[in-house]
Amino acid sequence: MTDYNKILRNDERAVLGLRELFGRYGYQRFKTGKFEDYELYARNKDFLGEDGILTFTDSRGKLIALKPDVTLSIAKTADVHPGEVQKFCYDDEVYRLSDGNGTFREITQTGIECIGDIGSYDIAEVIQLAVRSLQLIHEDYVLDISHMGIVQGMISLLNLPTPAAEEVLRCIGEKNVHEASEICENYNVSDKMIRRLRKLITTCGPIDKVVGELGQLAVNNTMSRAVGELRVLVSVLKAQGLDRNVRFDFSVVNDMGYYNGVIFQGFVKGISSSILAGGRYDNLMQKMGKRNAGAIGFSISMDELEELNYQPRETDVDVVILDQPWEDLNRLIQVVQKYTQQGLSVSVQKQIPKNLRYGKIVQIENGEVKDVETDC
Amino acid sequence: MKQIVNVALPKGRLGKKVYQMFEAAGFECPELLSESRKLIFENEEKCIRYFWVKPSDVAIYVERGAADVGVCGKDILLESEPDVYELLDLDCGKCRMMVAAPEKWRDDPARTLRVATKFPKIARRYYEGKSRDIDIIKLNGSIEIAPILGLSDVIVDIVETGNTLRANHLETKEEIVDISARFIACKSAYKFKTEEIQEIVQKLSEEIK
Repeated sequence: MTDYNKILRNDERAVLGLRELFGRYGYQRFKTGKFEDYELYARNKDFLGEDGILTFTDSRGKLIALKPDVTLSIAKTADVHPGEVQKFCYDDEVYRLSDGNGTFREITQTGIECIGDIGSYDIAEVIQLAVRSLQLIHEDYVLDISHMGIVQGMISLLNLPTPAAEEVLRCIGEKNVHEASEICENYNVSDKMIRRLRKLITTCGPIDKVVGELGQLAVNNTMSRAVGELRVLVSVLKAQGLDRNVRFDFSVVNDMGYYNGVIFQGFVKGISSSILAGGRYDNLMQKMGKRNAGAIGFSISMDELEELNYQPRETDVDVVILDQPWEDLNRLIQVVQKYTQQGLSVSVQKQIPKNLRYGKIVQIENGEVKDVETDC
Repeated sequence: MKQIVNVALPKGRLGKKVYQMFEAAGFECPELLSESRKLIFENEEKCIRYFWVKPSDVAIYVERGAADVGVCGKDILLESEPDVYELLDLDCGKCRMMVAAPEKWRDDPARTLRVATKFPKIARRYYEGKSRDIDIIKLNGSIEIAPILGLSDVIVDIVETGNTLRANHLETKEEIVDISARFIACKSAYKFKTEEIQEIVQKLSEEIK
């Protein structure tokens, strides 16, 4: 039996594990191509955040993009019918242009999208899968849950002009209480509302500790509904024993134009940025003309996992065999076979290689295998 | 068990001032102020490890998780827009980001404005907000000299006392934003060292006058 644990890198193993996990819950593999009409992204520019897109023109002069994201392609393709949900999973490379230094990045993303008539079960399932995905990647993980209904509700209550509202949203994302308060003071928001905003930004912690405080955050119907939804999630996660590393953190924010319900972000110890991000994005479906369709999903960036628990290997190869042309070739091949069958890796070299780290060196003398003494 | 928190401090005057706040808040590490060439200092008992880095690099160390938390000027945060939490305004190292120009200079909106600065992003964003066509000249120091030599019309720079400007016959024309030192945290570190970082935030906030 081949030991895949030995062959696969961290990120490769995680991709396969996740594919199997999503498959068990009926998510069908969706293979997207590398290219997509640029128009799709131009129409939904803000969905992708800050990063730029790599584009080129095809032979007919049409602008084509190297895919920066999979969600939009799936959302575009999904054909929804009342009372049905479609479930897709993917693992694909996506391409981004980093803002700061203009470098291109290739990121392996895996994730799921659940599109259609979204009910409480679907939301609970996606959140559970987010937790199980993180568990599969690393034992030390945290999933932060927030709700756009609460964040957006709070911001609309402040009654700020759009640019200021966007600034406040950014401050919420930075847990930046001082600047958020300052912006509100400049627009004469009442002290009471500023206190509520501060409370929202600083509310974070394990779900069963914070769940009691959620009621205080809600001041209107939209917010109360959102709180209700979060309470249901708490009970589901607790019943499944998945609540241990799940927290509420209302500094998790996303573009208000696309996301509307529960949103979440996952972290694992040892990786400095969030590796999992997702949420409910009914608004995107509406923008695409798919009325009455809801959607929820998440994606995981795999590329940083490579670094996680990385253990440098001490040797590149187990056995180096010196090839001496005067010895019998068939005997050499026989010796190579013998070692590989023992599960050792072999490299045949004409002289002792300078930059190869090896377990031992052998050579063949009159048909006999002999160890070679080396200085190092 | 309490985990050690790695703190990136900006080398120089601001860093020393900020360290005094940490010290007063109960996270002292006396070795730190000794005049040695060492860059990393640890107080195991207080579960804290400090290191000195170039002020403009603090945000990078924190964003990438090499430091869990750090202190850096708002100017650097505005310029590099790192993906970090900005947890406190430490209310020290205060100065202002200003547009300055020779005393007799008057803006001519018919021309492209030449702007010399160490902060191209901040300058671009400010003038974009005013729909002003500008030509950015990125410099790394001695910005004040640019308008004197005719390299630029104005400069965008941080101004603390205004003494350097006055000595070079420049004056401030417009204020862009107030700057002060901020306490920032790596998003991931905040998840896994939540209590430790919250304790530092709590105690530091008591030290802010």
